[in-house]
Amino acid sequence: MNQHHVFKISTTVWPKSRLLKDIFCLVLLFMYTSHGLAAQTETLPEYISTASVRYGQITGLEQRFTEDKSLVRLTDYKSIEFDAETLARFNPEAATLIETLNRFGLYNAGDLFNLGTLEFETKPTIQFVAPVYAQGITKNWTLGIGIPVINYKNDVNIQQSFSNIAYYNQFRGLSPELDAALDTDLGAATQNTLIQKGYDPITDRDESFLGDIQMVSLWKFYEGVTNKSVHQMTLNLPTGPKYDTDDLLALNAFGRTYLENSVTFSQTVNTYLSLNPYTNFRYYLPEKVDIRVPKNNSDVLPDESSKEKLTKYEGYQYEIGGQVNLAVSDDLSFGFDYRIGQKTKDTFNQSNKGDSKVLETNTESDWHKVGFELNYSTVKSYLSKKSFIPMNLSFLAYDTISGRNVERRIGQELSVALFF
Amino acid sequence: MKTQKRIINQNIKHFLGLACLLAFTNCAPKVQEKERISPVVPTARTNDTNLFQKNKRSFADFQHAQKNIKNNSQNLFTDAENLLDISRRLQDGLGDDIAFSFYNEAVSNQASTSPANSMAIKDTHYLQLVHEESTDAIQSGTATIIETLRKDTLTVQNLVVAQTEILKTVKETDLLSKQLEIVEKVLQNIVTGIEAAELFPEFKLQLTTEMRTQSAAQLAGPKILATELKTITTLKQGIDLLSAYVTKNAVVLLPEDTKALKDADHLGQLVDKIKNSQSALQALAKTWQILTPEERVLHFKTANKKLYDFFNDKGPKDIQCIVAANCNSLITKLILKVGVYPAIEDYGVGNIKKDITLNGINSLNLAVQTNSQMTLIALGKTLQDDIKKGVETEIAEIQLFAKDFKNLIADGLAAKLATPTISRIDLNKPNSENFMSNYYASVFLKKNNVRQQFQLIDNLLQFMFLGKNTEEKTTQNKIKEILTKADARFYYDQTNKASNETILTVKDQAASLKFYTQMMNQLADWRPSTFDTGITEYFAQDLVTKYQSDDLKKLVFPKSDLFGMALSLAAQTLKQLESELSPIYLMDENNQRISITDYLNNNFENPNAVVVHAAASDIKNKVLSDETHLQDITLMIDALADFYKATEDIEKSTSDILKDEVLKTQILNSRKQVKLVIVTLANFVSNQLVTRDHYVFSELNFKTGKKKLSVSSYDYAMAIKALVTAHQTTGIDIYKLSALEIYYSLNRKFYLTKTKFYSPTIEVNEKGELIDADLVKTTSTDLSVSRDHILMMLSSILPLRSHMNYGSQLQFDRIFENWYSALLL
Repeated sequence: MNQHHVFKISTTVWPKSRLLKDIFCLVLLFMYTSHGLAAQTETLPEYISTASVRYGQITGLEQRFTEDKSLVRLTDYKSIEFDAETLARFNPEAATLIETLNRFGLYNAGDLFNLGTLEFETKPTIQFVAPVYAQGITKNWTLGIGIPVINYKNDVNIQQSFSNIAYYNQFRGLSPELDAALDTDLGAATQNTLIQKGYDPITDRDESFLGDIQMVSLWKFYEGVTNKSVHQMTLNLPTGPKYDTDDLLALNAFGRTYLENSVTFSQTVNTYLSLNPYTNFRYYLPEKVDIRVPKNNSDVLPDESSKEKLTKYEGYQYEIGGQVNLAVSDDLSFGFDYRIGQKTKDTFNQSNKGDSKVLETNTESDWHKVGFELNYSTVKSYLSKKSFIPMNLSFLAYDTISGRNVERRIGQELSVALFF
Repeated sequence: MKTQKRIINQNIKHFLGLACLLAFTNCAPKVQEKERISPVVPTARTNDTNLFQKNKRSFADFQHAQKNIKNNSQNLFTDAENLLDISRRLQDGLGDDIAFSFYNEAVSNQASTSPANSMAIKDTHYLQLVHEESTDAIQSGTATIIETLRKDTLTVQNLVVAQTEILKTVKETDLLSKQLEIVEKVLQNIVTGIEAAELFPEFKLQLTTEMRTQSAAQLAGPKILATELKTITTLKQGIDLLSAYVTKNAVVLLPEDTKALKDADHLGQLVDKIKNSQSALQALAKTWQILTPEERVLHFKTANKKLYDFFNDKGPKDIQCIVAANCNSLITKLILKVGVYPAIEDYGVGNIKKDITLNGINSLNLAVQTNSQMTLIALGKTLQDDIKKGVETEIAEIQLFAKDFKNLIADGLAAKLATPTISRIDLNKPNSENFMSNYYASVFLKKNNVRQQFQLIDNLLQFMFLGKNTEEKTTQNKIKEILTKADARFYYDQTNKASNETILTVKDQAASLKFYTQMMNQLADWRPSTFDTGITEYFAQDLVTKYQSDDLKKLVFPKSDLFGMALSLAAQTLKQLESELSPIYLMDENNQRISITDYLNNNFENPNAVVVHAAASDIKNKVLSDETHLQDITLMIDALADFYKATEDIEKSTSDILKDEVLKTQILNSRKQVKLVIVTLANFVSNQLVTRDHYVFSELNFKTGKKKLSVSSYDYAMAIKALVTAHQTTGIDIYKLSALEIYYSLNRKFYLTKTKFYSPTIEVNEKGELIDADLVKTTSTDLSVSRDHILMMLSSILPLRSHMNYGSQLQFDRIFENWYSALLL
């Protein structure tokens, strides 16, 4: 698993096309870890407040778009084939054993030795509950705050397969070292190696914690008859867990400070249809992180001694996208969103213990995301006194359909918002 | 219209909603499944040559093979072994008899060229070992028995003294029958006392049995005599009874007793003849002669003063003439007629006869009773002396047995083997030849051939003296000690005795191990073998018939002990292989030689060296030769593999050597070490003594680093044999692969279409490359192939057959079948 960017965080939300619905859409603003289909087109009316609860989950984090844009399972992407070369690199004694086996006949028996592939099957799942509160300060300016609580689950299964140990069993009894090598449980050995190197053991996770709190300012700076423009500024506060260089399964996506600016233009086509192009830009503040610095590209598990406090300059992130909103009735609407985004390379200051350039490898990324929403609102029926309370109920689903150096995220979320 | 428009809009809205949903679903990316391929394992690099394509007439038909086999074998022993190996591998038994005939021919050839030097059975090493093994036990046992016997004798003697005390009260006037009753009771008490005493069981049994028997026998005669004496009416009858008793019982009489008996007999005769005064006087005169002066006074003077005076005045001659009735003196005749005869008649001739008879019988009884009484008084001492004497005789016998045990066994064994001698090892032959001829003798040993069995057993020990331990000063008479030593034993080359050089050859060491291992196979007590019957069934009692003892009911050649002997000698050879003078050594990746002792002690330059190769070289004057030879290594692998196999399930042996847990562990560990040595030797062959194309190097010179490419198919056969053996022993496939590829290269270069068999040798071109045998131009029309060569090649390749692919098997079968069939006819 990429320890630098396990997955992306977005606070952008699903826009609403219609006025009343736009009011309530703000409750979607604080969608921590939501897919980030952001095209906020409306502010709350002055003195109107909203309280909402968002509940959702994100899966698909075990899949990743690689440098060549192919989507692979992290099990495959991060699996390690313990062939002779890898073994020799990991362990000098293994190199001797390989050389020993190479001297049996002329068949390079040592070079062909393969303990198999160590596969880390992970099933990371994030569930979140985010209470959100927002208030219209003025007609065109709304402020809001969201406090996400995260539950992170990950079922880890380490398995060893595709070895040719069976063939090499014939060499058993010749030397204790060789016997030990043939009996190697890569999973256990890896855990031991991790522990020896000061890493946390790889085990199943089920933990809950406070995520990064977000504060949002929404300013409608232009409004015409059939169109309008909204600026949204999001401040992400580092209230979540800090970067943990010792935990290979840590999400390491919290505890960040960044500022994101979005501008959305909304054009109403007719009563039922509106189009909302948008763009956003995110800037991360440089941060000091305790991080293990690899010596080179082969140093996939840097020793504890390689830990160093470096300044991380996370790459800029920008996106453009567009939304189509379709109101089926006064209460029910659908929405579809498509966006593309990019992030520039992360950089680190010079390391004294390793090669920090290695940390920068494959940190520039891009993505294409789609989203779909089903929304049910009682605001209109409330205003016409057909409903007791003004509320908004929505279901959102999203996915990353292509990308580079980015995890796939499949999300579903449900939100309930009340207005008062 | 509005309604229609609304309906259309509604439909459009639904359609768009559905489209969004479908688009969302269809946009989902597909995960690329990574294709996993199992990692490869070592496989052969080269392929077999298609001999079917090489020449349409590549393969020999039966007639060709039969016509062209040349039977001028150089080594009938190896021919026999190779043929037997093929026959047993095929489990057809077709070649068994021919193999045995080859062996017998080889043995008779050997006997005709070098007649055996014989040695007496009693001088054999095994008998010496039996002597060594038994001496201590016999000496110790003998001493214990003797000490016990002497102690017990004293106990019995004391018992006899106590019990015979009562005999001193017996009087001479006691009737003989009464005396006999007393003595019988005493003897019974002695026997009862012995039975109650704590004595050496066999001694007790023997003594009581003897006493009962002897008592009955000894008392029977006197009892009869006592009864019969009561019935006699004449002196002559009494004397006759007594004489008969003396004769019958072989009683040894003192001269005076003999004389007395003779006189009494004479008297008896005279008494029986008394009819008148003259014959009465003869009897009286005889009586006078017999009596002592005091008795004369008692019996004559009181009875008849005149008669007393008459005799008393006579001298002995006169008395004698009266007895003989030939007194011619006129005076004497006158006196007799005038004075004596009348007096006798006065007394009465009948009275005289009666008196003399009565007194004579009384005197006889008294003499017998007195004699008996005197005997009884001395009986205690007599018994003691007899017992002591008997025990001492027994002790002397035991000591003689102990001293002569080896000879007794030797004589018995010679009788069983029907020969007084066996052969000595011919020290003028090379060690390997000696070892291998014994190896073959063991392989071809027939059931119940006891002479050959003993010869092989003794040869084991004879070979022990062929080898030397570096610290041994003298080895004679220390067989047991040598056998129990876990020291290395070196078999130095014996052939050049004039030279001061000490040469230790790989061939000799391998041959010694091979022989000892073969003997271990034959003697393994947990597996059936030809040694199950024959000498291993001989008990000491079967050989020593002169003495009977439970102690002799022991096997003289217990199979488990013989196995321990062979194992011990094999272990000494193996010990030698890890000694400082080992011909086997290890090599690092740069072919730098490291002695096994240095390796075990971590005493070499590069402790991180990868040491997985080993080779073997001869040692001359304690210096390793610069070369190592493939053939030597093959012999060593073969011998070590034999040992490894022979010790399979060794823990099942009941041999004493394996009852010691420490020794047992050492043996089991050494078995693992042997496997490792085989692995390292096979690694060297498969990695260093073959080219990338699996052509074979016959030798490597460590000094120059040069390898000699072999042009001999014999080397190829040896390489195949070494690697197949290593594969069978270790289970490592790589050796099998190497062997197969060497076989492929054999087919590629050595198969000669003209002879339809493998050429013994091929040639190299100016670049040093091997030339295909078929491409060598020759004008020779000789198509013959020697039997040695055929057997060697076929027996070496046959074990590979099961590992070949179908095509290779097919063409091997085409080569094998007809040549093998032709060999059987």
